[in-house]
Amino acid sequence: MQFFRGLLERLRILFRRNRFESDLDDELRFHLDELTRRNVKRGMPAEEAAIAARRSLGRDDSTKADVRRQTGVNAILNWLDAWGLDFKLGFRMLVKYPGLTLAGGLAMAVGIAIGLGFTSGLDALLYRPPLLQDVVTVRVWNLTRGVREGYGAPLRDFVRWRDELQSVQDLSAFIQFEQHDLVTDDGRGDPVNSAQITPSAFHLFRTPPLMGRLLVEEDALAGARPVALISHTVWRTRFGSDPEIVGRDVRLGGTVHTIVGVMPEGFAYPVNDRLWTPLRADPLSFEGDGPWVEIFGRLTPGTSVERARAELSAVGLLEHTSGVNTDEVLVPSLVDYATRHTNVEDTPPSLMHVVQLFCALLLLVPCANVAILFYARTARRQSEIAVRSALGASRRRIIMQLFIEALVLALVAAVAAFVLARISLGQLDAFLASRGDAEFPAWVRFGVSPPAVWYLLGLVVFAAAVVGVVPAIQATGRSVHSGLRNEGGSGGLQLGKLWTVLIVTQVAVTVAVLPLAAGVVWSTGRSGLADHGLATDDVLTARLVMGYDPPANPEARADYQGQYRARLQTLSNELKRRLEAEPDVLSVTYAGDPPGGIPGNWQRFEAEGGLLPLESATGSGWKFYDFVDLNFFDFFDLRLLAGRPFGPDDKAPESTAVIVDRAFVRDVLGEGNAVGRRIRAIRPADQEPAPWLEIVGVVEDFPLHEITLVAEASGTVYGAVQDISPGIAVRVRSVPAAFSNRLREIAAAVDPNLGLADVKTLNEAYQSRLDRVMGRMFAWSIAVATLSLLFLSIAGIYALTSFAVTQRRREIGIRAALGAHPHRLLGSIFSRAAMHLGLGVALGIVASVPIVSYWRKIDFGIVLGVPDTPGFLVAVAVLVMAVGIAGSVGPARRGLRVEPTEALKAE
Amino acid sequence: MTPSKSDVLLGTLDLIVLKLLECGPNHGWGLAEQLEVVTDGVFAVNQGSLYPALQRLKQKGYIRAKWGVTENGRRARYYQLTEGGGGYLKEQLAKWATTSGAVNRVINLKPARAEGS
Repeated sequence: MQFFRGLLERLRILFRRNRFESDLDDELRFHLDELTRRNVKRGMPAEEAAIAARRSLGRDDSTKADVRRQTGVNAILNWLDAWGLDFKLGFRMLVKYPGLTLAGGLAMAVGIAIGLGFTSGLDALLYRPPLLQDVVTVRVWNLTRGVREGYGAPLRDFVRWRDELQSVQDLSAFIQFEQHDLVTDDGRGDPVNSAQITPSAFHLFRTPPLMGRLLVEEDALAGARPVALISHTVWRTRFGSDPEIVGRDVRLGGTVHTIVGVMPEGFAYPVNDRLWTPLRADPLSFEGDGPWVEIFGRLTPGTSVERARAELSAVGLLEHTSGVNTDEVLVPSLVDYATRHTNVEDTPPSLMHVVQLFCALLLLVPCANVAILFYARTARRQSEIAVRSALGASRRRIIMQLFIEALVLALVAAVAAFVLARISLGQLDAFLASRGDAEFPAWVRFGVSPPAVWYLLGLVVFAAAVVGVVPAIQATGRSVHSGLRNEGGSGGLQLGKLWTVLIVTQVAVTVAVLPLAAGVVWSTGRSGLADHGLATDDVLTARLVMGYDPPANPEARADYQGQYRARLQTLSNELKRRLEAEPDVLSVTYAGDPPGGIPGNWQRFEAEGGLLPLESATGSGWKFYDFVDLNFFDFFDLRLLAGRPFGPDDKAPESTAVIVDRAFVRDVLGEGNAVGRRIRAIRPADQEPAPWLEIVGVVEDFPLHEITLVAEASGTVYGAVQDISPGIAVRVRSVPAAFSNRLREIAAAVDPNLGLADVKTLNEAYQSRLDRVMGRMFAWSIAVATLSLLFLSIAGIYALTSFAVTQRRREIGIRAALGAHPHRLLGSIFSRAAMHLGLGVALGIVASVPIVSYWRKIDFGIVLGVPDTPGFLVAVAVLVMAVGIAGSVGPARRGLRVEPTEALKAE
Repeated sequence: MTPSKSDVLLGTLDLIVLKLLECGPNHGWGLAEQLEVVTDGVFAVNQGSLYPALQRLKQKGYIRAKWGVTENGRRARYYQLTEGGGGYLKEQLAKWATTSGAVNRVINLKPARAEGS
């Protein structure tokens, strides 16, 4: 405490030095005046009194100096002066050694950015908005199987808990509808994320509406008029911020709802929702236990989560809840609401520290490299250090100076890392926001978080300590004064074998991963689908959506579903007919998933009399199972290789005809004629086996199906579309983007209930796929990491040559004096660098072959476009050799400029 | 014979300043004068010792300073004992009592009569 008080006092004086000085002057003058006055009072003449007082007090200067010394401010000022000088020197060093600055800075920046990115990302996932503090949600645990059964519970349990639980208040429930269609007067039927929610939730969220009112309990009563509350975004984008919005009617699904209010900007609770309708929490209006709802509430003030958990588990779940096996023991529990939605509710807070520690250790790798470069630089400055030491600088002082030089470099790297992390996280955030995933919480925003900045500063000091202090201790450890003796001659330090091994390894790793990195960047950089053999610039894709509000009664529900399917089929046929009549449209086709996106329906297949696909060449054998329109293959110019195309008969419900692609034949059926063979989807043992399907044709591979995050997936089974096929693709004469509005208009004209979601060109759909975005980020990281590795290698070669020249200065001088030809001298300087380079390159080439082939096998969603010809490897080798030699040109030239007389004089 | 003024005992200045301030807030000059009066002029404190000591005690939080006006209407810096300073003074006084008591006992020793003399 006393220490901090003293520190505060010091800082106060430091920042108000003038005031401190003038106060001290005043105080001492007062003392002098009073003493003079006393002398006068005792009978001395005024002048004599003043002189006597002055004499008895001694010198003001020395008193002031003593007072100042007591404050400790002088020590701080001296210290700041020294630091200022060290920082200045550090910046000068950055400019003087640009190679080290660039290579070391980049390597450290990459390392720091990784740490910063991870920490910020985790921070974002662990974030709990103020509104959600103390908010808990129900999680049901299956004790019998030891697994998580799910979040929430049937409505009947919710109602009972709401009435009985004392430790949780405002207990609420909701059901989320991903992309509920909101149809406005103009016929636009775009889907919005919506939640059917108990009105009590708005009490819990404590947020007043921007206009109108919130949902109230009366809205949820049987027979109440359907109402909806909309978000600020929906109000702005769908209703043009209409001030008269309250009271307007909109169609939601198939039902007309009256808008009762608008929520303020940014409100998207419970998860990522834009529209809210009341959830009727009345089990009598549902069959059985009612729908499964997610349940949440706020802990009553003063109640611990443990107590609330104990109370909930005592109340327990009702027996015979629908949809679960009654033999199993289910226990409800409470977990944090916010982190449950990012799936980190069970993450202990210590994970953050583990991640931080891991990232710091990861940073050790580039830092160790940069430390070696620093060591080489320090070795070259040995004489400077010796002079400083001779002039009285302590070892501590010299180490501090070298630490600050490293700190300056680390700070520059940190700024670059900050920018890098900010841009990457910003991209990720923008991407996630643009996806608007209903299950991804709106409160999770990726960016560099304030705690991460503290971590960043920690990393900077850590990196600077590794880079600066270790070489400094080494360099100042032995007799630094030997540096003085060697001034102008060879340095007193040595670079051991370890360093040579490290440089050679670095070159080898660079050569080994360079083809891979080039391949990844090249493949990802190629954005056009044309590279995959598809001429698709004129294709527009979308997903058909139509309101789906099934009644609770199971029988009525089955009827509704039947009617829904028939209606959607009629409407999609009509849409196709109208589109084909458009002058701008060339052709239209349907598929189960919109082409270009990530295929959704994955199955594993077995062939009759064949091997299980487990043993297939591509591993687990997951295949994409899609239902396509009769003209799908023509639309995408996929050539039929054998058998026949689909005909109208194949659309019949009893049809078993399928067409497979070449990859499927290769993986599942092996060699031989595939047409006529039978396959079926593999079902779990306790389910009825899937029906056998007959292969009637084989088509070319559809390139987009193969490029997915599911690495092993390759191969597609096509069935003929029977009724619902929500993916639509339209080939147009005009610019596809320009046709998208017309496409929406036509859909709305067919039926106001028919909406189109994700209207994109095929290329856009493909580019915005999660795996593509992740792939691009991955490629960028690989590129930056490889580039930094390359720079580090070159800097290593540079440092090695430079070091060798300094060490052999005298020898070079003597040889030059004896008449050695510059070419011979140059050769002798280069030979060592060339040997290291050559060895590294050779090792790298040997290592790259298995790396590339392994990569091809695992293929993280990126088709490697890297040529694996020897020619490419030779090109890589030549490139690395060339840049390495270029790196040693500078020191070599310095070696040639060694004046024989100067070098010998130093002896 | 008038007793000559001498500096305060080595290491006791802090204790003396704190003790004087216990009587009430005072400025540097006031403290110096008070010391002379109390000790009948035996002890005097030099400004070169007094002001660094005041700064030291202030930095430790034992006293605080505030500008005020004297009876003569002069502006002066007044020092005042803090709570922490009061506690510290008590400790130091106890120590002083032990030390001075011990010194007194030594001083008051009667020389033993030499045996056989």
